[in-house]
Amino acid sequence: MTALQQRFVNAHDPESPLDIAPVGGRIGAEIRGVALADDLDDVTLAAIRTALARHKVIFFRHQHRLDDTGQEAFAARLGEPVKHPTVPVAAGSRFLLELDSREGYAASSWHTDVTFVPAYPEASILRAIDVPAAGGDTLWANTATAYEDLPPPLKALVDGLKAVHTNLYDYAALFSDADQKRLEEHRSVFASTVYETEHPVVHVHPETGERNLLVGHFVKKFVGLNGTDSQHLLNLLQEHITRPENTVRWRWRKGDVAIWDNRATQHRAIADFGLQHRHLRRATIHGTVPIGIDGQPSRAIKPETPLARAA
Amino acid sequence: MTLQIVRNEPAPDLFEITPLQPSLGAEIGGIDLRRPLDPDTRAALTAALLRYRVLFFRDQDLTREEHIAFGAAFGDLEVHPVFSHPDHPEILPLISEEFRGKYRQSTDSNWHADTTFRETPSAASILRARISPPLGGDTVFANAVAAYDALPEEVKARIDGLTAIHDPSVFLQFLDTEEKRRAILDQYPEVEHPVVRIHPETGEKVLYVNSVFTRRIVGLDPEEGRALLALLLDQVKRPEFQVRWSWRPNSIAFWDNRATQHYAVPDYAEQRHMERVTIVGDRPVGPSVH
Repeated sequence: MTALQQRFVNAHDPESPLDIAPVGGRIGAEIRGVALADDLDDVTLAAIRTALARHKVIFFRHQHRLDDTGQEAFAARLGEPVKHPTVPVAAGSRFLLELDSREGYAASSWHTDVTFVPAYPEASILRAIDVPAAGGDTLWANTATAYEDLPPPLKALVDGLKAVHTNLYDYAALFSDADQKRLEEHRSVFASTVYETEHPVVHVHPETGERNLLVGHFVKKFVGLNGTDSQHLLNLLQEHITRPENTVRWRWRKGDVAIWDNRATQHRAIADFGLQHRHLRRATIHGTVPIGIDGQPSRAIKPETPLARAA
Repeated sequence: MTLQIVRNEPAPDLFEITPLQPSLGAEIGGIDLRRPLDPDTRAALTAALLRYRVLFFRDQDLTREEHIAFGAAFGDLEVHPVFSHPDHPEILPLISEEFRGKYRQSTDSNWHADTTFRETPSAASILRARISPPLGGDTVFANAVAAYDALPEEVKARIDGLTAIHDPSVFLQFLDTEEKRRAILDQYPEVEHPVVRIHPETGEKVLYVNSVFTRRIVGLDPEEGRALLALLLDQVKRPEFQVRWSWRPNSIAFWDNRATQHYAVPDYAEQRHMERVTIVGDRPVGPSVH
């Protein structure tokens, strides 16, 4: 019996002033009775931050009054909003990322947002504008319980290890059904500037102090390992992180908002909604540079100039 | 289990059907499982089971006798060789405390279809929660027909005529004497099943290897066999093919064990008492390979 089974890590905090209903055994909670807006009082805002650190992803239903401007204003209360480093902002917004699909496409591979830069986002705020009648759920995984649950020999293997993350990953291999248009878009937009960053595989969360696994689909290789060994090790770690006991699955309704701690989670959408419309917009909060167990921070290897030529 | 294939929509006046995910799963409302099933309702439930692959019910406060009677309406019932209720042998109790300490850690929970170590694995299972944790302890079900369908054509062509070995060695950790361990291995020697099973009622192709009972693919170079099996076992882990069910006391899941796999999520610390009745199935048959 592991330490995780002896205590219930996702129980709600009786001290919290919020109405909180945990969703999974280890991750996720719905917060009720809060209307997200830029004029939230400081006590509620502080309680939301505390709940976010504890539950890793928090959900708010019925936020129909939140529009683009409201989402941006609320994001600015939570932290410093940032644009995606390469993808242009959603039409009419200052820094929102557009996730709009009628072709069944969604980011259906496990990742942490934007880990190809050193100070990757600390949180993301995702608002459902239009959702499929069925399908298109999102899953989040708790990377702190994933680390804690690793057997000691695997902890020993990853504790001092570093990984190189990049936005120029093999998109075609990851999304086998990707069409030519999407591949082209990936190369010319998403990877228009190539980033590479070396992160510790285990980072210490700056607020909770918990150790978290930091990998996901932007990992290119592990420092000191060749490509084959890197792929095997990445598969092994991803397998542990995404076991159902570390995850929560959220069925979207129009007007839902999910906020996740991007330093303690991975997530993925489920691309099972066919030609139905699925439209969400994401605000992203600037983060700090991760620190490994040894106290060493991540470091940038590349930005370099555009590489459309690599296509 | 001899079921009539009903290709029509189940009659809507018998009960309500709420599909839960695009790939599989439906909640059935407006039905009292304590009462004997009339033939129309039984046929409609069977049709819904074949279509949605796993049916869920809430608030079914059954006695053990009623649970057994509900299962028996769909076929003969199994008695499990390792886990069996002392007073009701057809009931398989799953009690969390008895697993802890034997299962070393959560990584011992894994994807499977029930009893594929048998020559004739279960056709269907009816699992009922008596005590469920307030949070956690969900079961995730995967559609093994969709998992097969989504394989690349090259892989389908490679596996259509293959067979794999299944055995009950996972249970050895629960048996406290060498004698008992030997007895179960004698009673259930290794069995060979097709890697792709033809569903006996729908004719669909089902991916029929699982992480708990399948040991190896027959007749391949060991290295290729391991790699191929690993790829196939990963296929059911894609959330696109899954539905996740949260239990409450007296919730029931009724799954077509020939077309699904499932995973009990070990993310809770409290008590969890489940009881299952299991319907006898037939010997799996693979596609005829030309």
